[in-house]
Amino acid sequence: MIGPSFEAVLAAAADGNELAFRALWRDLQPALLRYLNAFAPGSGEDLASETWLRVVKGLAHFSGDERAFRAWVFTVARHRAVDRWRRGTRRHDELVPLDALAHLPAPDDTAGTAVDTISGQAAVAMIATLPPDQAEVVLLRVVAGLDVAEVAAITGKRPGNVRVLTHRALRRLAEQLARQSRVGGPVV
Amino acid sequence: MFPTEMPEDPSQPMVPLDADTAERLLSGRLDPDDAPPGYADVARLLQAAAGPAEEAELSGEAAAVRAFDAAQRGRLEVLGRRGRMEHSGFRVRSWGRAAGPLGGRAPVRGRGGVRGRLVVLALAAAVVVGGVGVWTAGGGPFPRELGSPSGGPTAGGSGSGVPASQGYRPGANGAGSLRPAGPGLGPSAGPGLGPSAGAVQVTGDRPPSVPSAREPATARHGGDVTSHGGGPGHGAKPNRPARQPRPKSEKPKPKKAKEPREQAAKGPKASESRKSSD
Repeated sequence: MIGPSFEAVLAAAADGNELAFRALWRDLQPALLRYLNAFAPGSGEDLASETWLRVVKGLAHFSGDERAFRAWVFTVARHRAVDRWRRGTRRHDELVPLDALAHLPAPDDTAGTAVDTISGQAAVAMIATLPPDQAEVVLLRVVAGLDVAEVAAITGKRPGNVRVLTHRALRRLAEQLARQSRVGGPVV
Repeated sequence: MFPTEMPEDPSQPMVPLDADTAERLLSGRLDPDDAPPGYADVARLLQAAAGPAEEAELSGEAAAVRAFDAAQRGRLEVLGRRGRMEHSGFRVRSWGRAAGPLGGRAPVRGRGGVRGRLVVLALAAAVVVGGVGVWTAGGGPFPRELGSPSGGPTAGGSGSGVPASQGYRPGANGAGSLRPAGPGLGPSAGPGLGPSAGAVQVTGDRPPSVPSAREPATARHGGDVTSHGGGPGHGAKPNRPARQPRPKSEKPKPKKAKEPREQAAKGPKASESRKSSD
């Protein structure tokens, strides 16, 4: 998060200030990539680029605080991902990128199984193994840092539905990690 | 010994999460050591997912900035171009994608220009056709009273016995008046007379009965041709008196508009027999 200076940064970026755009990009790009890679494996970079193009075009017309900006950027990103999915350029069941899976520890790799050593991309890859609607709400909540209402607005779901999906996702993750630790020994 | 100091037992049953704990877990405010049984790893996983950026994730910064600059330049170009086009009376539909490493493309003009040209061409054609119609009806080489010398499809057209004094209105069927120009006017120009051949009845100063709005223009032209006796056999009776015009107070029958289709279904012969019965 950029913080109190966000409005000034946004205004400068809208005026074409390169440094201000860099600040916005560095703040949001990692989360954007993690989110997009979970749903369009291998296309995250392309989709993020398309998203930024749209954002740059709309910068001058955007008004709102930093949270609203984040929500808007992820809404644009989601639309790009949905478009890509509809075009069928990627198969429906390719939810986990192979390069992200490469970071995941093998089941018998006790040292690698330690969750505290897991990278951000590997963690997202593990979240992406959840059912898509659960994975999406968790990623938007955790990676994008949005609240329930914002996630509900982006995904077109009711806030209660978002909460239910989140709870189910957390429980499922806990079960998966417990199963993994039983195979590979104690996690911590 | 506090529970947090004890090693976590994977076989320990998970307790259901309350809303507050779930919220702290999702926001990263819940320390893994404070997590409920079974959720410590989840807390670590979520913290890793929301962790700081990795080097690879920021590798595209230079390309993104180049695209940003290109988009800014493209936006300025589009704005300038749009101003010029609007000044010249055209509307520009710009996609506004800047050329750059992010896969953009230069702004392009939409299809509005082509469509505009087509409309202008169609209007010009209509003006030309209407002009020829007026010319033929009024001062052409075949005055309507004389009829066509050949007695063909066009002969009846101009020699159908409709006196000029009855107020022939070239504007109403000017397209039909094109027949003297030659037989090459499309599907409705020949003796076959198109979809509504022999169907439209024109009497006196009444315009041809209104064809369906969905009928193509050529069909309407064909109807006009026929209305002047253009069908086979119509030209054989050039001196047949025209039907008397209806009094203005008389309302046209509501089924009149459907007549062309019905008659077209019956064919030219049906039209013929009807005329002969008149």
